[in-house]
Parts: sequence; C-alpha cells; structure tokens
Amino acid sequence: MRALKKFAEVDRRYLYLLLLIVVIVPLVKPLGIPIDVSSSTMKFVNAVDSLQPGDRMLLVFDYSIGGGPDVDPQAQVVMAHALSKGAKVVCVAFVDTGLQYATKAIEFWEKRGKVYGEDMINLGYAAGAETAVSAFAQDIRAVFPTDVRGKRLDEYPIMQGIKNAGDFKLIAEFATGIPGPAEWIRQVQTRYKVPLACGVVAVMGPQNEPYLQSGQLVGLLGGGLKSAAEYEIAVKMPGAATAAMDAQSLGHVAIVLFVILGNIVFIIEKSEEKSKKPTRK
Amino acid sequence: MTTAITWAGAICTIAIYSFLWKENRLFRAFQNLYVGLAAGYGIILAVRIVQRQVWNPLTTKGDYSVLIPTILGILLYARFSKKWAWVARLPMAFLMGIGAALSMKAIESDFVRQIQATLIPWNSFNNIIVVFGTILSLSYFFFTLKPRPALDNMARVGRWVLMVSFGAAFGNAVQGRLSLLIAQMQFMLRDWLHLIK
Amino acid sequence: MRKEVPIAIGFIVGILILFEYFLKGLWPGVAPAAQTVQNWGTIISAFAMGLAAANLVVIHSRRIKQRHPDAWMSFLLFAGMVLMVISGLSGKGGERLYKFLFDGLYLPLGTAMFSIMVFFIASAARRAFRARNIDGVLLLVSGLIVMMGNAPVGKLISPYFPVLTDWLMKYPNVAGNRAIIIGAALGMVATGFRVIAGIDRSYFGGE
Repeated sequence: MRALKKFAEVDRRYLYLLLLIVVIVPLVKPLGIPIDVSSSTMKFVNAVDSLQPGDRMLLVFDYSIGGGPDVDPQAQVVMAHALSKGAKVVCVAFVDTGLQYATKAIEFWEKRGKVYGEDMINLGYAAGAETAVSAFAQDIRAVFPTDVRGKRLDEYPIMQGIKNAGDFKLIAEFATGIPGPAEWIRQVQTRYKVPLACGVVAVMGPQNEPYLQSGQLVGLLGGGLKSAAEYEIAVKMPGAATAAMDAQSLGHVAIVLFVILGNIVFIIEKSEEKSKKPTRK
Repeated sequence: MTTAITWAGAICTIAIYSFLWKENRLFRAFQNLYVGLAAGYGIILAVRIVQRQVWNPLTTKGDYSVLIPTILGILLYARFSKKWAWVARLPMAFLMGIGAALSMKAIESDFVRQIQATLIPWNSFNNIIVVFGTILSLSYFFFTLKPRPALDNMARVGRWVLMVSFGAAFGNAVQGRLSLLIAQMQFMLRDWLHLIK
Repeated sequence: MRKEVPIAIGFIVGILILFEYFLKGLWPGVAPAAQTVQNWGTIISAFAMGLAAANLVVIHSRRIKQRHPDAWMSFLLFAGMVLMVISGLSGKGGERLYKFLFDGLYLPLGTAMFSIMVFFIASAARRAFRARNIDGVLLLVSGLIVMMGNAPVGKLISPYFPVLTDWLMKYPNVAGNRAIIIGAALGMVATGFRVIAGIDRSYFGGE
C-alpha cells in the first residue's frame, strides 16, 4: 500500500527515465514479438495490389513534422509497394512540410533506378488546404502548371492523359490533420468516385473508421506506425516500423500499468477519505 | 555533410529533451530557432507558389488575371496598418466564401453518405450496435428539444457510446505519441550512436 | 463600404462554388469561373503564408528594440529565418546549407518537440486518468483495451485484447464517431450558410 502511494508521489523524472529505458532496451535488443495484420490494413494492401503496371497512383503527403514519424513510414512502404507493382506514382503535398518528405522519397527511389517523370513525379506544394485540394482535383494543371523542377507537366510521360483527380486509379492520402481524409472525401472521392485510401496519425484513426465502414475509403491505416509495421509485414518489406514494434509493445504496457496503478491509489485514497469522515449521530 | 546533419540533429534532440529535466534557456533558444526556421520555410514555399502560379503565367502567357489574387493577397498585409486594417477583410472574405461553400459539400459526403451507411439490416448484434449507437449518440446533440425523461435516458446511453469512442481515440493518441518517441530514439541510436542497424 | 463590400465578395464567391457543385447541370458555364476562383484562393493563401513570418518580425523586432533580456533569442529566430530563406531561394548554391538547416535542425527540432509529449502522458497517467464516474470508467476501459490490443504484445498477454479492440473500433467507435460526423456536417452547412449570407462576420476581426 505504502509503495503504491509512493509511486503516485515519486518525482516525475523517474517515470520519464523508466519510460525511456522501456523504449530503448527493445530497440537495442529486439524481442521479436510477432505482428498480426489487421483487416483495415489488408484492405489498403489489396487496393495497392490491384494496381496494374502503368496505372497511375496519386500519393499525397499531407503531413507535418509533428506527426511525420507516425505517418511517413506508411507513405514510404505504400510507395515501395506501388512501384514494385509497376505502378507510376504522382506525389503532391497540401501541407508545407509534406513537400520535403515527398522530395526525400523521390530522391530515394531515383538512387535506386526509378526514372523521374516516367515512374514517378513530384508536383510540389499548393497552399490553401481544402481549397487547394478542390482546385487541384478539378484541374491539376491550373494549380501545378509545372512540377517542382520547373518543367511543364505535359513534358513528362507519367502525366499524359491525367487532367483531374478522377484520372488516377487510386489515391493514397497520408495525413496528420487538415487536409485529411474528411476533406479528400468531401472534395474528391464523392465527386470523382476514385478509390481513396488513407493513412493517418494514430489519434485520427478512430474518427475515420466510419468512412471505411461506409465504403468511402477503400483502405485505412489508422494506427500510425503500428499500421505501417503491419503493411511492411503484409508486403514482406520489413523496415523501421517493424523494428519499432517491440518498443511500442513495452511502452504500451508501461503506460497501461501507470494508469492502473494510478487508479488503485485513487480507490485507496477514496476509501480512506470515507473512513476518516465523521459519522452522523 | 551527413555526419554534420546527424550531429546537429542529436544536439537539437538533447536540447529539447533537456526540458524534461526542467524548463531552461537552452530549450527556449532552440525553440526560437525552430520557429524562425519554420517561418523561413513558409516564406520559401510562398515565393515558389507565387513564381509558379503568378509570375510564370504572367510572363510566359501574358495572363493578367492572376494580378487580381495577387493584389488581394497583398491586401492581407493591410492588417498591420491601423487605418487600413479593414481592407484586409476583402481577401479574407474571398477565402472565407470559398471555404464556407466547399465545407457545405459535407451535406453529401458526411451527412447523406453516413446516414446511408447506417441504414443496415438489424440482423446481428453488431449491426444493432452501429444503428442504435449512432441514433443514441446523435440524441446527445439534440440541444434544441425540451428535456424529457425518455430523451434524457437516450442521451445518457448515447454519451456512453461516445465515451467508448473517445476511449479508443485516447488509446490511439497514446500509441501515436509513443511512436514519435520511438522514432526519435531510433534516430539517436541508429544514426548517431550506431548502436542499432 | 467597410462591411458591404467584403460581404458581397464572400457571397458571390460562395454562391459561385455552390452553383458549380449542386447545379452544374443547369449552368455548365459556371465551372470555369468556379475553378478560377479556387485557383485565386490558392494564390491568396500563399500570400497568407507570409503573414505568420511578418507577424513574427513585428513581435521580435519590438523585443529587440525594448532590449528584453531574452533579445538574443529573437536574434536566433531571425538568423534561422533569414538563413533558411536565403539558402532555400538561392538554387544550387544554397542547396547544402538548406539541406543542413532542414534535415539537421528543423526536422529533428520538430520531431523531438512533439516526441516529448508521451512523457507528460506517462506522468499524467498516475493522477489525471482516473475513473471518477461511469463515463470515466467507459473511457478508460476502452482506452486501455485499445492500447493493449494495438500493441503486438497484447495478443501474448490475452488473445482477447486484439479481438476486443477490433470489435470496439468497428462497432461502438463507428457509432459514436458517425454521430459526430453527421452532427458536424450539419454544423458545417449551417456555418457555411451564415458566412456566405454575411450573418457570421467573425473573420472581420474587431469592429
């Protein structure tokens, strides 16, 4: 009992240290806890799997630096999967830092032999959030007359025949806020009926689940890094997200224990308060 | 170059994490640097957009219509003058008009489609949860109706359903925040200290 | 003039886009106009991006002028801003500096700042996350199940954790969030109407 109360009062910095250790140890010495692939992740995998060689997929980097580590691994593995299927990837961003993530992804694949302008392209960033998404969806060249490298889109083979958002076989949107799945469904999916799959930071996962159930999304990676790990396992491309999962597991256990212990202390304190209160005569 | 970037990243991480020990000037200094870099990054992108969507159409195609949004955009800065601050309302009204109209499309994508998705047969326990859970949760938002015992009870159960949803969001929020810490530690251990592959 | 013109602009622009979406069959010519208006919106938004920087310049210049004890931090802020802009806009010449500023400073500072939040969650777990009533119990139990179900180790502790998490996400969570989506949609339509009609003028700022 006394130990529990001490836990509730111990300097927060000891807890910080404990959490840090819990995260670092499994990163250095992995435990190899098996990862199951959820049905919503499988739906996303199947949507990308159904792409034929030459099909064009729009990959949207709508994520900020704050949520980047949670969502970027999702976008990376989806891009790798799509390119491995022979699909062509058109990258674009409607969140400012998303552009930099897109640029890095393009550089990565250029070094591995993919041809810019044929296998993939980076259109750039457009300001205006939902307004920009809507304008882009109606006429891509009005918002992006040129790509990030300053050439007209018509000069690239990958952009032949692509006029609006409806011309893509699949849209994969990765988001940490606005614009996110709701905006893309509102401005693009409802109007152009193009299959839309989304990957989001974990906190946005539950709120987007109704869109998956209603069929407005064909896939949802709603668990951040965990969903990225599931995707990596499903397509047999294990990467940084898979390596992070043991630390994720132990971190969850630690925080769950903190909450449970905190509540036990709360119950004890409450019962003690009750017993201390003078009884009415 | 890569080494310099890695070392700078590690120093930044340590400076920010020093806040966990206690609030300090090093943390605040790096925070200011971050804000400056973010603002600078925003300016770069804004200039590139103006170049792409204003300058190029104007100089190569002679498209003078782009001068209208350009002038409106410049008017945004009128807010820094006390006398002319009201002029900034013009571009704001333009943006608000677009935003308001675009958000009204939710009537189809969010209202109609989500109601359609709720019209499912009551042939399983799970379907009943979805249908009645949605109706009960909606009843919690009926602020315009006079409180009645039946409605109050519906709203109470609806609030329980909402609490379960918020709980799921809470669980996922913790998960997401933990992922950010793990990713940062992966950077420190892999790229900086070379302790992991 | 100060009220009427902005209201008229918002009205015309809003109606144009609504017409294009809901009544495009009746008046096909409206589509190019609505498209142009939205393109202009993206250009105005680009100018708005500079507002944040302009605001920072105003505030921090004042701090330097007043010889605030932390004025050197404002210099640091300006240094970051100016170096970023110069390197980012000077093409090939500034490429290395830009890469260093973005990858070596901006990116790790941002990710580090957001990653420390989990420590505060862990600390708050002891005292803040307490089940004080039935609402709190439901929220906490659902949250704890989801946390365990989403961790790969959850299945090893109990095979029910992932099954329960899946069920919670697909049914009660969908019901709750669907109600929020439907309610928010009605709210958006009502607010949208108020803005376009000029009833809601909160964006005017102080009168």
